[in-house]
Parts: sequence; structure tokens; C-alpha cells
Amino acid sequence: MDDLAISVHNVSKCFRRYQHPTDRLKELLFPSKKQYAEFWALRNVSLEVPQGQTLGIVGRNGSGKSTLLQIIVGTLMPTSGSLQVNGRISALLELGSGFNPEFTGRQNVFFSGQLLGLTKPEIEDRFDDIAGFADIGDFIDQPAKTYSSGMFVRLAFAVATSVDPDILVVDEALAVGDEAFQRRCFSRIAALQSRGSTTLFVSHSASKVVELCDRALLLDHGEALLAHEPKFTIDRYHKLIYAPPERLESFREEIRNTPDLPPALPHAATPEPSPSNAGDTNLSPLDEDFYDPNLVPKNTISYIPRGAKILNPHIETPDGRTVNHLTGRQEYVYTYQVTFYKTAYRVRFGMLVKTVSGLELGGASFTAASQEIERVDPNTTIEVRFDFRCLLNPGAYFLNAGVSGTVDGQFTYLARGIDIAMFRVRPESDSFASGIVDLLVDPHLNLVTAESVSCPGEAFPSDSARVESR
Amino acid sequence: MRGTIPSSNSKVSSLRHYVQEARWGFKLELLKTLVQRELESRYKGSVLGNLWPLLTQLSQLLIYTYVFSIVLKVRLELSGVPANNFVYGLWLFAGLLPWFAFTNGLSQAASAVVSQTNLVKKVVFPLSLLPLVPVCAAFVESTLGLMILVIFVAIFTQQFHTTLLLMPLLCLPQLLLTSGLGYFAAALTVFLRDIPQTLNVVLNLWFYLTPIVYPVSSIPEEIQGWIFWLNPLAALAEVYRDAIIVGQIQHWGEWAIAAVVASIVFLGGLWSYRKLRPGFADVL
Repeated sequence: MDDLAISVHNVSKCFRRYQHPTDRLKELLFPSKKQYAEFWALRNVSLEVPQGQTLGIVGRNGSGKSTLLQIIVGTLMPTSGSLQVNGRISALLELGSGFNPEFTGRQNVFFSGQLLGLTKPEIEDRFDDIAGFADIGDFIDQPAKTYSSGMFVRLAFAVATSVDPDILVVDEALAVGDEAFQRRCFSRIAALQSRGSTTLFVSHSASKVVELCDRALLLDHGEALLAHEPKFTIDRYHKLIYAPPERLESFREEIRNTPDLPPALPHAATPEPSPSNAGDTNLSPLDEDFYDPNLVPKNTISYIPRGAKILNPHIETPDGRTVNHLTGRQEYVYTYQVTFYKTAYRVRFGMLVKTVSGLELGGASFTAASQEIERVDPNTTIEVRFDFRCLLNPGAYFLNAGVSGTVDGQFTYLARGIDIAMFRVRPESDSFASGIVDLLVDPHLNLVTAESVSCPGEAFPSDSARVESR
Repeated sequence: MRGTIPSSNSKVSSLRHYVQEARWGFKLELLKTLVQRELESRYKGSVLGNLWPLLTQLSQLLIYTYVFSIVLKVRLELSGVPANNFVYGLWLFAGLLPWFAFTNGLSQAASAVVSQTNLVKKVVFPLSLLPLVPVCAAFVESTLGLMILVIFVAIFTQQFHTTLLLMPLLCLPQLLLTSGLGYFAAALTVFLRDIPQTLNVVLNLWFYLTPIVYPVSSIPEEIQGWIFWLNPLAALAEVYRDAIIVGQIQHWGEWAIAAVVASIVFLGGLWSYRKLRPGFADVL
């Protein structure tokens, strides 16, 4: 097929691990004797990427993402299988790969450009553009060894994208840049996309994959488990990350048996209704809130209880269904039960939501005077319910719970659990929101002067120009 | 599975294929840039910069002339050359030129691949260029020495030989031999890091087995013919001297043998390099 930018057929990659370097030589001399242990980084991976598509690749560390990219780029040879790559490929596999630290940025730009197949005059034409994008000022004429890692990656990215590649391969390198630069990178990638470039994009950032990609591939243990619509793949990926070891294999089997989305051309096969709707029919169970029994915190810290015990912390929908994959802006109830085994006075309950990094986002407790309970007798069980609205952007969040009161004449925490439960706000494919908290931002535009806005059609259609934040 | 080296299936890695097979002009241009970089980086940061290769060659020539012609007063009878105190020094240097280009090129080529991990693993790069870079760089440096030598010969013997025009042809076996062994050593070093050290020892031995500091005539006659078969550098030293000092090529036969041997070595080196190349990225 001519429309395919990349097609990979049953590619496997085996690394041989030798105990000692001389074992490798022994084997060269006496090929009959095996001197190595095999490590299969990729097993029978098949993949087709149509021209113009942006493919995200997700997977845990060591799942074979980088190996696959290296094979596609051509720096590694597959052990078996075949692949076909059509067009000029430009790869950003690692920070400033190919840069010689002794040479100045300018010399490195010329050399990298030449490696990518440009002639000297062509590079001269683009040099100002490259230097401008990298934005490293006078450092361009300093040896590259004096650069900060951010400057390095900026220059490398500027060169890699300046050659109008047919295929752009971006490994996680971009994570080094600051946010302003990352944003410029993504807009540059988007510009390349609109010009019909094919992009391969490896990232651990679920929201970036959902935002940028047309399709996402899930790799696990060197195996391509699933290639599907990004949100669909990401949901599976998260499920896989939190799967307990004993159930991992059955999960993988389940994902493996999920049919792939055919590698259709992005514009032909996914018509205007957004991709998330396109999959509605066969992905129904994951398209609404659901409970994933494996999405549980791994490091719950329970304080030594002093007279009470917190049980069954979880989130429910208003109609009583237990969930831990939530949809933004919906109403939920965080609830847990407390069983007392000592008499406690002036009892209060509290909750707190935190990010993965531990930032405390918000919580509540029953306010001191009005809502505290004067006295609780032993063997009482109380259910606590906190209604809340999920004003959070996609990501994982942790929940705390705590009970305080006076036991044995001392005011203290009766029971307290840190990271006692967790939930995930599901990514939205058409979300523009950034940050952690969803401030219900509703951007809209007003036409101020007619001349300054070049807009097709005479009237400014204020409704359709409204940018929905979700 | 013995399959790290994929068959010559043209579908495998079409891109690298594309770079390697199709774009000779591109590769030549790239080689030029790489050699330039290599030479630049050697003298980077030094005040005299690009004068250095010229100065090193000049100093060596002066040292040889001083030690052998002025201190030791070694005299050499060469037909057609005025018996001059300086002739032995010049004669010696003429023989050393191809030797230095050979050893410098080869010993640096041995680590050419292992020292460029980045280019092997992180970018698509025509790897066949890597060992050629130090070989060419060393050759460029030696041509500077050649120019100085020609000037000295002109001064001390008042002669300027037209045989110099043959130099590009004469040094062809030298380039082939150096690159061939360079390919071989570079590929082997990836798997066996002892090669560069071993090479130092071997080259040291090789130097004294080559009639450079002594004339061929001092070797027992029955093995003189063998020397030229086994050691292309012996022939190279002779033809360099013929072209630069004597003004008449007296060793065409030996040169032809050297050319044949060097071509075989080149093809063998390139073959083994290509054979081992797919494994480079796995090992480095």
C-alpha cells in the first residue's frame, strides 16, 4: 500500500546477554555453542501507520517502546520480521543525539542537518528559523558542552523539525524542556501534522497522547497488545499498570483479544463526530464511569488506630454505583464507614483529595461545633458521606480519611488513613483544560472591530467560535 | 537463533538501505564534513590551530635531518642524487610519510566506532564512513608533510621531480590498505576491546620489519622478494622515495604487488565490517 508511511510485520528483537565480553568472541569463533542468555525486547510486533497519522506509543518502562522506535528509525536491526518505511524520517530519540559537545551549536546544526540529508545552502536558508525556534541566543556560537539540557533539546528539536520530515519520531526527550517550550513543540508538531507528516510519539503523559494522537499503541513486555483510539488504549494501559501481579496475565489476555481499530486514514475513517463517539458502540463499558478493582493505592499509610477503624472507603455515583473512574464535572459521593470500639466524645470526620505528587487539593471536615457528635458508644458503626462535584482535570488522585475525637480524655485522631483510596478522572479527547483543577472556564470571543479579524463569512458566528473547554 | 544479522532482504530497514546504497554524493559530502570536523577537533582550542599539523611534520623532518645528517653523519649513496649530508634525513622522512599516515589512521580507526556510540545508536548514519574518517584525516595531515618534504628536497638537492605528479596514483594502495585494516579493526574492537592495545604492539613490531630506517639492501637477499609480497608498506616506502627523491619510479613491480595485496585487504576488511555492522548497536 502506498498510503502507509510505516509498516512493520512480525518484527522481533532479541538481545543477547553475555556473561563476559569474550563469550561473544567465542561464539563468533565457534558458532555452534550458545554462550548467551536471550532477552526478547520485542515479539512479533506488527504495526501499520498510514501517512499523516499521529500514533502514540504507550507502555511501562522496559516494554520495548524505544527498541521499536530504534528499529523503525533504522539504528537497530530486527532479529526477524520486516519493515518498510516510506519517506524522510527525522528522529529525536534522545537529547541532542549526534551533537558533538566540543563543537558550537551552529556547527552541530549544520552537521545534523547534513545527516538528515540537507545540503549546506538548504541549511543556511533555515538557520535563522532554527536558531529562532531554539531561542538560545548567543549560545549558538558556544560549544554545545556549555549548554543546559533544556538548550540542548531545544536546538535538537528545532533541527529535527526544520527538515520537513515525512515521518517525525519523538521519544520522551521533550519532557526536558520547560512548559513554554513544550507548548511550542506541540504546536510545531501540530503544524507538521497539518502538512501531512506522520508522527510517532512516545509519552507517559496520558493527556498528551489523547490530545495529540489519532491512534495509540499499547506495548507490554515487547508485545503489541492493542492499537486503538487513544482514550480507549490509555484506559487499558492504566488498568494494566495497576493490575496485581497474579491477575496481570489474564488482563493482558483480555486486552490482547480486544480487536484493534483498523489503521484507517485519519481523515477518511474518523469523520467529524469526534473519535470518542466513533468507538461508542463497541467500547460502551469503558465509555462511562466504571470501577476498576485494581486501581487501588499501593502505599496506604494507616495510622495506628486509637478507638476506631475506617472501613470501605470508596466513591459512589449519586445512584449508588461504586466507581473509581470518574467523569469531570459530575456529582459523586465519597463515603466510608467508621466502627468505634471505644467510647469517643466530640467526634469529627474529615476527607482530603491529593494529587499523585502529594499536593493537597481540597478537603473538608465536619465543622467543629455544629456537626460534631457529642458521644459515640463502642461497637457503633457510622457511615460518613461527602457529596462532591468532581472539578478536576484528567489524572489520578488519592483520597485521605480521618476521624478525630476525644478518647481516654485526650483529643486525637481515632483513625486516619493516608492514600486510603484512589480514583482517576478519565481523559477527554476534546479537552482543552490544563492544570489540575477544573475552574469551569468557559472561554468565548467577542468581535471588537470587524477589520482586524479575518474570518470566513461576514458575520462572526459567536456560537461556533466559542471554544469549549471540555 | 542465529539471526541477528538479517538476510539481504531488501525490505529490512529500507531507510538505512536507502542511505547506504543510493546516495554516493551525499556520503562523499558527509565524509568531507566529518574529516574536516575531525581535523578541526584535534587542534580545537589551541592558539595555532590549523598550523599544528604543519608544525609537527616540520619538526619531525628537522629532527631526522639533524640527528642523522648532522650528528650521526649517515651518508647514503643514491643514483642521480647529489651525495649530500642531508639526503639521508630526507630519504628517511620520505619513507616515514606513508608509515605515519598508515599507523595514525589505523590506530584511530580501530576506535572509530566505539567512540561514536551516539552516531551508531541514536541517529541514522552511514556507518561505513566511520573508520574512513581517521584514515582520511591522517592522510590529509601526511600530505602537509609531503609538501614540506618536497620543498626541502628542492632546497637541498636543487631538484624537482615530475614523478611527484604520480603521487595520487602511488598512494592509492596505501589508502586501500589503511582503510581495509581500519574497517577490520574498527568492527572487531566493538566486540573485543583489546584490539587498540594489541594494535599498538603489532604496529611497533611491524615498523621494524619494514625497511624504513634501513635500506632494503641490508635484508638478506633470499627474503627480499618476500618482504614486498607480505608487506605492502615496504613497497610504499620505496615508491615514495622513488617519486620524491630519486625522480624515477624503480619499483613498479613491487608497487603492483602492494596494490593487489591492499585491494584484497580492503575488500576483506569491508566485507567483515559489513558482516558485523548489524550487531554494533546491540553491543555498544
